[in-house]
Amino acid sequence: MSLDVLIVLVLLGVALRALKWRRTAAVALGLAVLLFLATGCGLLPAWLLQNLQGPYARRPAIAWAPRNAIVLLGAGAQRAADGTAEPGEPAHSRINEAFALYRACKASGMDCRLEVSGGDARHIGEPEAEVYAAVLERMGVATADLLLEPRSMNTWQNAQFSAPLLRGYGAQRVVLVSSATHLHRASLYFAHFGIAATPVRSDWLKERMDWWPQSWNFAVTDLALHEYVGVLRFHVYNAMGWNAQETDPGAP
Amino acid sequence: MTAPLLIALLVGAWFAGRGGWRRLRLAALALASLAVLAIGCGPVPGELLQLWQAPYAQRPAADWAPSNAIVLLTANASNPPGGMPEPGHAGYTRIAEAVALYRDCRAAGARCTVLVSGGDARSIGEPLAQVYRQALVRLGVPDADMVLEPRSRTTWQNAEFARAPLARIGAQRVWLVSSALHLRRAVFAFRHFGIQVTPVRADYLRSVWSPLPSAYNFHVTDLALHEYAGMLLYRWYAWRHGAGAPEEGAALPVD
Repeated sequence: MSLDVLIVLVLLGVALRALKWRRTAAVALGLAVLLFLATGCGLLPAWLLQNLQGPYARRPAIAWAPRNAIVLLGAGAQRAADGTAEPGEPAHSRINEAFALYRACKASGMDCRLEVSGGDARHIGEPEAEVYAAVLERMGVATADLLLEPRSMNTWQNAQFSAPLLRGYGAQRVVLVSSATHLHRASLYFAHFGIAATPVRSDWLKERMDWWPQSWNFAVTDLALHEYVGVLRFHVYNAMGWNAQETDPGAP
Repeated sequence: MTAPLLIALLVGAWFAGRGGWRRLRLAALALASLAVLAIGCGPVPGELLQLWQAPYAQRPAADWAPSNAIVLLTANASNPPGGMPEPGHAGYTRIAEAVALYRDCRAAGARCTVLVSGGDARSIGEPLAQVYRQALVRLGVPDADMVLEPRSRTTWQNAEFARAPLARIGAQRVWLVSSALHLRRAVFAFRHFGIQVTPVRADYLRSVWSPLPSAYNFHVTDLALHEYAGMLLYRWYAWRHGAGAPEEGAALPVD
């Protein structure tokens, strides 16, 4: 997304120059250079990330209830060379965090389920929920403690399809595990479908402050912008009454 | 490395335009556009990643020796406000792989020690080995089965400083866990220091096919180029140090 904006600005500048609108062309090209430096050197992504991740910096201490659900949101899957399916690279922070929470929950002696939410969003022929479940079992999660939601293709559906599953289990405490940048949007969607969840971040992304533009900074800027756009869309749809039906937390 | 390349081309085009060399300016601009598309839409990073990672795509068969060392090469770390330093985004897959290997090893009834390797290469005030150790403990690896190597600041040193702790562990087999992209250089360094390793990949990176240029593709291209350049550097190190000759007294198992 960041690159598209830059390309549009540069093309605009070139077109304006061709039309002899030299002043306007200079503004467009100057803006492109400024945006390139602000993103590439880390200032813009630092600000974007801080707003998204800040509220989740501290992981909360969880008071486990008699019945707990730890919700792990899928982050892609891929086919390995030998044909087996495996979680994508960004998924492992979430898997590790969910597993650590599961261990803590089990140690408390309470009832714990690990819900894995994710359909076949990358079209590899297997839902993320099943791919991640295999990894979690290998790490030591009991099969009976896994709840799978293998249909959702996006975060909205993660919430929509998880809600009935969590109610069916009768979870008194729901812990929502995802990347720090993703938690704001995910919590918003889960609340919309009536699930009051405790968000726990799995990772902490950092921009790379540098005098020299870094491709990493463009990649995390895109990641952050995706979240901002999603949240904005949610609020616009809500205002327009376009979102699927809403439920208050705690309602049946 | 991709950003400097593009900047150089654009600045070159600008100077060419000032000098009145219109052909040269056109060539530089065309080259820059081509690079943006070839990298950003996915073909260049696709090839670079595939070429470098393919030998490690398949994980080795888990034939455990009676005593094993699992070497975990640490990646980056991050320092969230008001908290402890923790592994960075590039480290989680390696940690997960090391935990899974450790569990498999124990389930097979073999003896395993995880050697966590990494000093304070990111200047976070704590060695990476220590930061990663905490993550491993949370995931159920007992402290008693871990050894830390908290000095190394590069992959080369990961290998160099692994010799002494590995000799102490006395493992018959050494499993080396890292990202598929990093393994080629890491295996080269370990072999140089006379350590026979079985490489086990954690993450296997893919480019994305995108009709519009994507920043992610530039990022993975940079990661790949870093490895290509790093390998050249290590070949030079090895040549300077005397090709592949382990120092005397390196009483290490060779399988």
